[in-house]
Amino acid sequence: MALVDTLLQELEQEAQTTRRVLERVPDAHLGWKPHAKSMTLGQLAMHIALVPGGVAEAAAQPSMQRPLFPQPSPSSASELVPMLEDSVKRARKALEGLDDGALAATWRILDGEQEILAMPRVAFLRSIMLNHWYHHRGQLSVYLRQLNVPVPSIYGPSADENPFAQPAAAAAR
Amino acid sequence: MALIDGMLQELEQEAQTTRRVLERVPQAHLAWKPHEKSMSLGQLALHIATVPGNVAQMIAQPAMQRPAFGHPAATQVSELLPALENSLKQARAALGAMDDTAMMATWKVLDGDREIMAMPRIAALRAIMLNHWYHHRGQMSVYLRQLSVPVPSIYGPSADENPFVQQPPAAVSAAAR
Repeated sequence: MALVDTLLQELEQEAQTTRRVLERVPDAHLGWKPHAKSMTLGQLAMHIALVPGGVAEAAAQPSMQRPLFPQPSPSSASELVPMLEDSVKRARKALEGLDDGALAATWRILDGEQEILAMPRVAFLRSIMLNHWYHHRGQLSVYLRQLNVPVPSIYGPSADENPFAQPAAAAAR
Repeated sequence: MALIDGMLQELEQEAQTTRRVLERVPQAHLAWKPHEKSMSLGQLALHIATVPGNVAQMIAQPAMQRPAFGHPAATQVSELLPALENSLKQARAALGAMDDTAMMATWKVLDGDREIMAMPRIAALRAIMLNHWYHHRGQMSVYLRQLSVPVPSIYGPSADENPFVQQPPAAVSAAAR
């Protein structure tokens, strides 16, 4: 199996969980933040929706300029799941053509002409498209909890939902 | 390179970040939780510290019984880094010699005799030892923020620390490796 297929397979699988989380974001609290220095709920949710496509498209290039990290917020929570679907579609398109050689090749972040980060393309995708995505989804689960939204199962039971307790057929796989 | 080597390499690299996060856990607030249904800071931090070793040891077995998810809390923040180091050592010992065949073999979660989950061992390690670990570390960054503890850089800049700006270029290139 090509290296990129493993990444795409994981992306699809984790996207299902991410969908379950994003569809619970309450429209009434998009401006809420747990602390003055935090992202708002809307900013965090939109960041999560956009990560796969944004990161994959950047990674498909030879290098990118130092990101500015703008943090837009959606005007409605109903935008989030379609945004995620589009983002996953863009990620698939950007990555499908990458062979093992391209994934092992060095990818760079530049500040003008100065190199500020260099790593194999696959390491960037692993770290920023995937691991960093789970990191922010974890944060979002703490936001949802504080807003009294029932938290879905993510990797195991939440205080509200326990997939292990369901009938065997539904829980397995 | 064996399949497990890529994972162990990632484990070591992410452990450096996890260390930076755990060492900021404030002793005075170990019992704090953001919501009554949440884990306390001390529970979450100890869970994060012990995930690698516990999960690696479970997945090195052919199957495990449905976990009970007890969540003990750290009573001293000074326990956390040693618990993480010990956990990493356990993970290395459980996984270091695992060959690709064992990685691709099916691993199961059972409830008595009933199978409730089955997947290739490599998928279980990816999801539960690694991705689930990042998930909880992300949660803890929100806890630290709400407790007004400066949040370290995790994958990029936090509101307090920006590795892209503060470090000299040489240090960033070395870290990026």
